[in-house]
Amino acid sequence: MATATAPRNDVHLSILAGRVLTALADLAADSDAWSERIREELESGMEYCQAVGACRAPAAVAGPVDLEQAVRRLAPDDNQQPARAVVPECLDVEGLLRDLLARSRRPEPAELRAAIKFFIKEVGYLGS
Amino acid sequence: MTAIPEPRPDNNALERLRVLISLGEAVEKLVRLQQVLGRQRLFVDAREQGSGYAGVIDPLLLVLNGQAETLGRNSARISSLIRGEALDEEQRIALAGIIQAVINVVLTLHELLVLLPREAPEPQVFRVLRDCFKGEWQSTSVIMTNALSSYEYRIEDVLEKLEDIGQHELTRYKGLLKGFTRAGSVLAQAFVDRSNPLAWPVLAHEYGHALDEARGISRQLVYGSEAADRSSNKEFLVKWVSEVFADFVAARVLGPASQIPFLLLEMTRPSLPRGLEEVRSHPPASLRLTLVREYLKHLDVATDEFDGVFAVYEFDYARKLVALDSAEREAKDQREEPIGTFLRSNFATIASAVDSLGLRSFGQQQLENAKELEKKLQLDLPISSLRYTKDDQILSELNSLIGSKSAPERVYEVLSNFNETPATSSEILTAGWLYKLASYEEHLKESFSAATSPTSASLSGYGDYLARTDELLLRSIELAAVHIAIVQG
Repeated sequence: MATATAPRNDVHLSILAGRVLTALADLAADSDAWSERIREELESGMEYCQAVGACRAPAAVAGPVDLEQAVRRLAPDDNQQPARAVVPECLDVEGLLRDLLARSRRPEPAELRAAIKFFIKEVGYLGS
Repeated sequence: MTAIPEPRPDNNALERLRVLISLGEAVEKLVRLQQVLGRQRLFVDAREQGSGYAGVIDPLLLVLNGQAETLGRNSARISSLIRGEALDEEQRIALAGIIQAVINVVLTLHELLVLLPREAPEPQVFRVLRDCFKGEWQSTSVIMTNALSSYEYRIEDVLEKLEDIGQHELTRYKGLLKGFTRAGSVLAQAFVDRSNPLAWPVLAHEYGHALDEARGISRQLVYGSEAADRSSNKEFLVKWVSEVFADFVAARVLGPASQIPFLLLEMTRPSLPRGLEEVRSHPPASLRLTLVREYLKHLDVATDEFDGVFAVYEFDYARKLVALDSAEREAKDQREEPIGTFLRSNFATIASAVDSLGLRSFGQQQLENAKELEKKLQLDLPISSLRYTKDDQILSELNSLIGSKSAPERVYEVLSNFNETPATSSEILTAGWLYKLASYEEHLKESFSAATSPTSASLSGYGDYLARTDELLLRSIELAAVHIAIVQG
């Protein structure tokens, strides 16, 4: 084989990340920018955060589970703690996106930068 | 020790080129996939309206079109990048992330093409391989496949890769194939590279593996007279040597251009392989490039025209190293140092083993010929042959006959200077790469022209450029073969 196998990122997450990064870049250029497209792209970001937050919950990072464990998790006791509580960075970004969608405040450059860095790291890009 | 790139003006230029190359790869893979699916759609429609295959093709096309739209949405930013205009930090890093996201999507979608009916490879593939490998070429199949299992040379390895993506049932078929694979090799080529001769150097590398395995060259080099033990740690050494051997084979038959498809592929990876992932099967990619460059020096082939891409690759590699945490980076250094020492100490032996094969060797003259051919590509002409006597010289000799009392035979003597010689496949492919590296940026610029629209891109324009380049190269390979047949009578 010519080269080692490249890791494959989840395709749906990459689609969502490409979309939300576009909106964040638009807002970084002009914090008053707004359009239907930007709104849709920010919603993609929300979807992303929810998917990433959920899949990185402690149960998921613990590795493969057998059927018995899976069934046990259905019990109410195992579902008490919100899964996404362990991903604060993700929650921060999700909060920013929620505010932006509600158009409740103008984003700070540092917040946008942090959100962009979060998403580029997620697609595997290393940043500047 | 690892060289960490620092923010310097020349690094900014390298960073811009790195993102441009990534963008070029993203757009190219995207439009080529669209072309593959478009062909499949036509095929399906022609055979049977309402066929179930459309149900596979259409969703894939939809996702690809979405990615084209994402690039289009960023066309103002991309246009600024191509023109070298300053982008603020947020937009610059967001754009690089967007391009990486598109690459991730497109490469993953390519894997799903295994769901579609297979196409046959272009016949020119065999012409190129026969031309490069001469007497060493044994009739070998080329099959189109997904990217994950592409560029293998044994059907067993293709099946192993399919197992990696969950096709566990294939294990028993591997057993069945054991006896068959002794009879020959099967080169696997990615669907997306079917009509793209510039990607074919990878097949030369794979055929290098086939030659190696058939003769046990790397194994012999590692074990010497000792009996081979496939369970020993020395098997890693065999793998590393075999990769360098195959790299040298590709470099010997195709020169510096043999490295470009590998380097572009490596650059589309978002990060370096972690832990032992890479070195289990391959020496580190940066070390391989260093060794190939040394081998090209040994062949007296200059690499000046390709040094720009090599520099961008090295910059990309260095920045990916920086992204590793310090413990991982240190571990990587510690792992790679002995591999480098081992391979460097065996450089001469590997080079000598490759030199002793009966291959058509790429030399400095082929590079010079390729530079001449590139000028014809710029004029949108096929490059199947070279003429050593210039037009001006022939015209001047013909003019000198006007009004002279020379015998009519003298005219034929002058006309015999139309001494066209068929170009070799290696010259055609090298000229193709020289042309592509010199022209892709301009075509990207046209596709993302902010003057047209800040939120749309004409990716089909870039697709036309790629298709025309493919067409010129495919026709050139074909015409050179016809030319040789005519010359040989």
